[in-house]
Amino acid sequence: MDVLKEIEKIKKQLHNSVDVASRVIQKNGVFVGFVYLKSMTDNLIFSQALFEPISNFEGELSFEVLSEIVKANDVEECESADFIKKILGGAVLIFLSNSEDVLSVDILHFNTRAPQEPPTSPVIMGPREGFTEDYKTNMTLLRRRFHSEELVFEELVVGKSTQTKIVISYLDGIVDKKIVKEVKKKIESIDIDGIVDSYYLIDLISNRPNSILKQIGQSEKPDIISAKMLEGRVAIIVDNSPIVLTVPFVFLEDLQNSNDYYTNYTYSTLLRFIRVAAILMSVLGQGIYIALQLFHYNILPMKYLITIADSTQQVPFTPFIEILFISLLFQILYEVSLRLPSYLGLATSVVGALILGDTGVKAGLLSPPTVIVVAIAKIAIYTVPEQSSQITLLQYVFILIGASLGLLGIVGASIYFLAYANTIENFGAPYLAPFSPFIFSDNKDGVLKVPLSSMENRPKSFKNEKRKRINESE
Amino acid sequence: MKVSDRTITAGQAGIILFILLFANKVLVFPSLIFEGADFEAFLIPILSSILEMGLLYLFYKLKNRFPDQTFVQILRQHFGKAVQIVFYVAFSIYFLSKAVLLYNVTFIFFRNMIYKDAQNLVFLFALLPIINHLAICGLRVLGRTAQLFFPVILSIVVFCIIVGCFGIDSAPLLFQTSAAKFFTTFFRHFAPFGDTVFLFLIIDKVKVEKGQWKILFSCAGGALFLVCLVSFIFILSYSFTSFMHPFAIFEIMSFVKEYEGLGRLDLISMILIILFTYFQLAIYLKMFMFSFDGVFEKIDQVYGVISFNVLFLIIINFLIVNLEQAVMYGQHILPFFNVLPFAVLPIFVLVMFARRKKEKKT
Amino acid sequence: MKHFFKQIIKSPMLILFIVMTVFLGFPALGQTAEISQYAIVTALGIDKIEEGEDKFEVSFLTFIPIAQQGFAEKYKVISAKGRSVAEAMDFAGLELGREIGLSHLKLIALNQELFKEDISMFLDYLVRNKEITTSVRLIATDKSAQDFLKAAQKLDSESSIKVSDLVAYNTDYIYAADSTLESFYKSMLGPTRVGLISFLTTEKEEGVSAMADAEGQNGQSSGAGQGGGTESGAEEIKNLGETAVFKDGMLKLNLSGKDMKKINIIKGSFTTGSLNIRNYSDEEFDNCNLTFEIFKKNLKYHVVFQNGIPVVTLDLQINLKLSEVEDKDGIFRQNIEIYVLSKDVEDAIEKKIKTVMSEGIEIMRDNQIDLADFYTFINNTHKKEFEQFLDRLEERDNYLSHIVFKTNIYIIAS
Repeated sequence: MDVLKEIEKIKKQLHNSVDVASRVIQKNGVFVGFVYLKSMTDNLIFSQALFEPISNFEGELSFEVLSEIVKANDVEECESADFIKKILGGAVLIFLSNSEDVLSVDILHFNTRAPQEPPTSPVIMGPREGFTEDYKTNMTLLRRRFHSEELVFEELVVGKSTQTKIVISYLDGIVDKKIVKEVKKKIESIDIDGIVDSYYLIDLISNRPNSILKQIGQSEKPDIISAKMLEGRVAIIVDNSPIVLTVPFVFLEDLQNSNDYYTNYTYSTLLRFIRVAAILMSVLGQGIYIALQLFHYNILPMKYLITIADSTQQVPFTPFIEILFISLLFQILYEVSLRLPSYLGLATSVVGALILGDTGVKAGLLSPPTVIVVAIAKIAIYTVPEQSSQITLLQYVFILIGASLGLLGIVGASIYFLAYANTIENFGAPYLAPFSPFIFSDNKDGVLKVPLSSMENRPKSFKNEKRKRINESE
Repeated sequence: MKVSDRTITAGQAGIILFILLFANKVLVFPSLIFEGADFEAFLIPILSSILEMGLLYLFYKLKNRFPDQTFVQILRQHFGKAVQIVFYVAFSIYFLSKAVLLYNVTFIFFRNMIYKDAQNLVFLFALLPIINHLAICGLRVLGRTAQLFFPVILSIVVFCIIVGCFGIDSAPLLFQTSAAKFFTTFFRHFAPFGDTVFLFLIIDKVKVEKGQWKILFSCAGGALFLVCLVSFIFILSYSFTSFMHPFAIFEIMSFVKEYEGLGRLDLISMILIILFTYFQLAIYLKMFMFSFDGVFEKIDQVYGVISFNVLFLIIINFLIVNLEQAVMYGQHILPFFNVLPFAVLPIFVLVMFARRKKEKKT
Repeated sequence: MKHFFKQIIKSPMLILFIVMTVFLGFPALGQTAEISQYAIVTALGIDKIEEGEDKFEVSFLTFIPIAQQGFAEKYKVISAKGRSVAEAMDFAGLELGREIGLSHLKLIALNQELFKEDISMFLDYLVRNKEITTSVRLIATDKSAQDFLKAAQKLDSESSIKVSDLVAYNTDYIYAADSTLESFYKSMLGPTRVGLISFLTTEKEEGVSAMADAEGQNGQSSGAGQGGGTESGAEEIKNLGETAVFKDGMLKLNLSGKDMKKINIIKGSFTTGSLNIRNYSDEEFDNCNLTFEIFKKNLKYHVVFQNGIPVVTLDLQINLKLSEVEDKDGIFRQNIEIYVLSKDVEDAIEKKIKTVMSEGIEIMRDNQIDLADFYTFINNTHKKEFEQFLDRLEERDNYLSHIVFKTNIYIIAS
């Protein structure tokens, strides 16, 4: 084999990209050529595992000898068709002038983040690990939690340009095989140039991609994913994304929080009731307030009426414009605080709270009750941060409906949205299960939470192969 | 567009039944019966409830005989296609007329209570899209959504009744009504009853497993019991002044209307009435769709929805436009429509049973 | 993109939402708050006038919102005349440029001049108005209702005392003249056809007003004044416990607070109150005035017909406590809490209660006002005999005079 020629050929195929490195040495009359990506391999490992053993070898090099002397685990013979794929995957190709076979040694290495506590779901008492962008690390994090043969990883590759690795993970014997099959079918049928993050997958595998409702579960924490897999769900790990997806998804999952499982069950129940109340408050609060102002002043008690009437007198806007204005203001502040570097955070809060809020009220541009109502509604969203985008959207819908149709419209719209949610079934799970359809046993971990010892069965909301969790042998 | 009506569970059917049986009766019914029959009026809901339960029992018998057949098939098999079509035309008219009555009553209520001088347009904008959506999404979605709201509905009902008990402050003056007056009132205000008949139309879609009949019966019984209870509380609370209080479930809370710091509690019953109105109208529309389907079997069900909307709009905008007409319609025309569920239907079903018995013997 | 739009067009709800935004949402942007469109009336007064065609003058105590941070309640009294109450209401709106909102109405004041005619004539509009809650208080005044509202406005602005609270207290603790629109109509349309309205007087007072008290008893009757220095010559509202009694819509008589208390003993529904025995002497007390506080009262009626005449037995179980002893020199005795009722005292109490009861019954008999609703009770238990009994009477309404009353009294000291 003409080593130099082969190397040139490969370099040409990779458009002479600057990170394609090659090296040729002569050893006892045999030319040895290495081709690899500088950006994907570790220099030290390269020299210790490959270069040194080969240069120190005294004897005649052949393909068989080469396979034995390199100090690496992932060593295999490579077909010419796979050259490019292997190099892009972080392997070093070794050519020998006296052999037609090519050796590929995987010494992929790049810098990754160590597992840290994710900022989206901190816990008070509980594991603080989070997934990273490297799917292998993520698999390790899951594997560490299941020392049994039940845990299965299946790899798929999606994206013409990105060739992103997607790993489907489930517990064999617990998960319903039909769900795994459906997930695989959906992922395999994806025809796209690239998957940059797991969020790309959400739209592509949802049953109703146009829906505003969230239909796929997401988490950054291995403990949450493990718990969901134990219930019979399928996890989807996407390379380069710290967010792991789970299906089937039901709304209840976002109502639950990992903290609930690491504290007393009565307290968790209380917290869940508070979350439900907060969701209602944040979705409906502003709508009801505007409906009361525009249509139903007569159902306000006298004392509230006096407060509202007195404080809204000086406001130059109509109630509808006022509430939209404050809502928008909050949303802008929110966007700004997300994007600003943290050392400027103080500045936004000063501008937001002091200048806009306090001075706005004092200047008579805003009325205090409206500011309070909007603030409560906006803050209450973050009791269920996973649903924040949906809730924010619904808030604006309900403001509009409250302003145009009053209380009747608000109740009607609530019925509409819940009926709409009821039409959604993802991977066989009704969206609002276990509330509708009402499943008694699943309500043990619904709004109410019972102690773990009483949760004997896996959820019935979706299918799984093994029903019992506790005292299985009985 | 194909409307997929998948089966519903006995629990969901029970909840729909509860909503139908309780809903339209607690708004104006107790007040009207008292005006007609004084204190003896509390016997009227009891009497009507017994008839209603009889209808449910008939359904139970029919469902046991024909567990998997649709009502269309049952009728056609025993009486031929003509009878089936006549029945379904009658059902269409029946449910449409009930929807019109319900709309009229609630329209008056909302205009009086929370929407001052509002036009029909606002109510139609708020009501029609939602009920159409519920009906088009199918029976299962309707059942599930009703199930979701049921805890809210039930707790408000119980709350209303508890609060209503505080309003009772007078002893009833008994024995003032003559039998003739009593029965006239009974007949006049019979229109809100007969809703159980919807179960016959979805006889194949209700999945009642062994031992689940008690759910259906207890839902119906519970609803009717609560109707009687609300009527009773209302009559005791508003002895002699019922003419001032046409909206019973709302009014029984009004003696404790304003709690310091809590606000007006009758707002809660208002939400209850709004919920009932939506669900009841949606169920009537759904039933109209089924009836329409029974008449025009080959036509898409969506045409059923369209014709309901058109007819409904025509009636409420051109035929029954004021309170007098609504009262006339509700008290003098609609009660006759109840001949269908309480006389014609039972007779046909009983004939069917008799024939089958005979066949078996021979 | 095309696919996306196709999907959207397929969704009728989205289209409807857009239509709704255009037709209802945009107009709502310009809609002012309902609070700014209505004058919120908290009290309403009706006066009788004769000015051309106008027959009524209707006054409103309205809440006027003011742009400020303190959330003070500012009220204004406005009046309008008209041939009917409804017409006067329409005119009243002109003065404020706002519609009249009655949903927060708490009190209706009626000038006593109105009672010369059938009261239902002008109350009818208010009864049928769905906006008004029927728990609104009805009050009769001796002076004009407009002046009454002005006095009420002062009371509202200067203190947190509300006139409606005065009447409510009166109803719940002192005289049991339940005086709401609802209860008035209920009893008016009931078998007894008698309705009660609390009577509040307005007086010109000078300087600081004191708590008015009809009987001068310690804390027993309610007074209504307002604290703080008032301008001299301003109208003051006083509650002397008087009650106007109506029969068939017409004013029958005005009962004083004392009379109401007598009748309350016979009424089963009213359980608290007090009892006063004057100049009582025995081993322990020497010519003392004893005041007992009634904790609980349990009154049951029993009726039997003897020779076609109903005999009503009032079984009264009364739970009371000695609360005050004043001896002949006007000195109040200490440590009366531990006093155990002696047989003699019990006898005296029984005698006193019997006297009070018979006085109460006499008032009802003389005026043919069945305030304790014996009619319903006898009718429900002995329908036939009662009908026969009523038929035998010359005047059916005078049935109270022909009923025989007996009393059994059980005293429980606590």
